Amino acid sequence: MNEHLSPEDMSRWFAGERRGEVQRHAGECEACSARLDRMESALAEFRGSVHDWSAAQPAAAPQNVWRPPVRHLVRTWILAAASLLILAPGPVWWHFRQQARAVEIARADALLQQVDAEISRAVPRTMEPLVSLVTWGSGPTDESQKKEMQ
Amino acid sequence: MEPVVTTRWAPNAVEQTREIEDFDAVVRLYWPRVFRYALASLRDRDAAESLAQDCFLKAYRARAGFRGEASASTWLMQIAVNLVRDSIRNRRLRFWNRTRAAAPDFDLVSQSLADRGSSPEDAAAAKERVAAIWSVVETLPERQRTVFLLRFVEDLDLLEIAAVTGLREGTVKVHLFRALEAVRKRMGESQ
Repeated sequence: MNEHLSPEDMSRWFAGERRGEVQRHAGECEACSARLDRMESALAEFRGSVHDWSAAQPAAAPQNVWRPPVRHLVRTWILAAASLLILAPGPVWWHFRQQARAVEIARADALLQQVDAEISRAVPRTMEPLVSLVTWGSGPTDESQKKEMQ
Repeated sequence: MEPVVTTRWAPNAVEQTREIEDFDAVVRLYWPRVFRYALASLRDRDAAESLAQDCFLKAYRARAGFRGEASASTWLMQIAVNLVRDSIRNRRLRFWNRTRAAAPDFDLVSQSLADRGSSPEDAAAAKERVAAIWSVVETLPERQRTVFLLRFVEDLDLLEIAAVTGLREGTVKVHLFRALEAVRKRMGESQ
């Protein structure tokens, strides 16, 4: 192979396709060898740039970011237990509060009934003086009425 | 110039299975690679971090099923490649969510070259070349980009790329060739 490497030959070279004649020519021709070297060093610079860029990130070191799943599990259990401790008293407190309210309501009802009974009037206010003149429940019975009739 | 390795790669299943048993060691060893691949593919630090977490979490949960047919590295990269693919598809679907695509700090490139003793002119030229390659990589179709990054950033050989992506070796070569053609053309323009 006397001709210089074509651009496609160069791409094939870096893609891993290195036929014997191309390899021979690359070894003999200074110009082609220099072209290959230039391309190779550009790719190496690119590689170095990515490595440097990545290494400069805090997340490039696993100890800064990696949380092992076991710790995940432990943390999950702790969170679950803490949630239970926080949330569990809720229904209990609610139950006792409801009970206390029911007792309070019953007491208030009884009091209201008592008050009602005490303040309720048997007769209108204007007739109250007459009430003292009448003995309720000790009026003339049927027998005394009969006697009077006789 | 290192030739691309194409020898049949046969991992020792017992050794591979044993390797995965110490999962913390696996994380320490392979996290940088998985994170780097995710970062280069997504160009989003937070997304890359989250993807690396997902990758190792998936691997941890599936470690009982790991039979050592491939190396731990290949296995993890398989998971990472699939997660990156899913993530890219999801981002496309979430069209309203503009991703904050970042690019490498190109000053870092010239700085690291200067640290290695290159002249300021060489460092500036290298910075330009790296920026040119990045601009091409951004526009490559998904598979070409995946194959390109695995080959030229992660240094995997063709068979490893085939194992990681589930493609045939010949297909990997075709994708790599197309990606390189795009890079070479852009490099020709920038030089």
